[in-house]
Amino acid sequence: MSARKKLPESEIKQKLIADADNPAAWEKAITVQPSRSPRPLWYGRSKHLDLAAKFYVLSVLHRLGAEATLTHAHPDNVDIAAVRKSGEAFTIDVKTLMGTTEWQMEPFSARKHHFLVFVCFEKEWSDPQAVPEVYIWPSKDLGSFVARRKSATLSLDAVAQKLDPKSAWDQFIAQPAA
Amino acid sequence: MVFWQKFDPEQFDFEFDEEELAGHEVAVDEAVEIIWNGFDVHRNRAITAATNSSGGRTAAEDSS
Repeated sequence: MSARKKLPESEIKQKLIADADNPAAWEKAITVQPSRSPRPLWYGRSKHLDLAAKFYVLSVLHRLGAEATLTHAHPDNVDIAAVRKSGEAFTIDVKTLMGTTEWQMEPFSARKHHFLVFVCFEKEWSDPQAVPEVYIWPSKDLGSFVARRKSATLSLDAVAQKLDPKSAWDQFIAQPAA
Repeated sequence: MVFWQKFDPEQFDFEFDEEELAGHEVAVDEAVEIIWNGFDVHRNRAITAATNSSGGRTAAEDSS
């Protein structure tokens, strides 16, 4: 009976990356045929969750009286456009997180009247009673905050200790007609 | 060790490191599509010899 080493996953990963450009390090390819089995039951959940997050933000905006609607394939990460009054519009980039409040940072537009809203679902997100944690920041404020950071991930709770994660909603409250 | 010639993804439970995938701008559904649509496995000789496991890479990684 031969004793086999159990290498740590990190060591295996390093070794594989180091060998990436060395053809001699790899065995001949084994072709795995496409599967006829159905996709797992949880397949497609991210699309549903993204849509759920956008509609959640929309529902909050309408509770505030904003005229808001989803955008379609907007090229600049604008998921929602909201009109407060004639000539005054806001745009929102909705980020969806599940089971975490750590955001893997990605580039975003930082400009006036543009907001980022983070909708954080619990892991058991399909529970209808579960309410997501929501953070909203003006994109310029968040842009200034992350500009000083070098990490690839951003703790939303850490941001919330410096920047109020709720007050930006006030800017969407519709003013009653005169 | 996985017998790749008879590999059927339905026989496995998958658990993805979603933060790692997100770091490479890969969605979980995209990872599923790679697994379900067929791929080439290249086993790493040294890792296989050391662990008898199937540390390797896929053709999808080769083309990225």
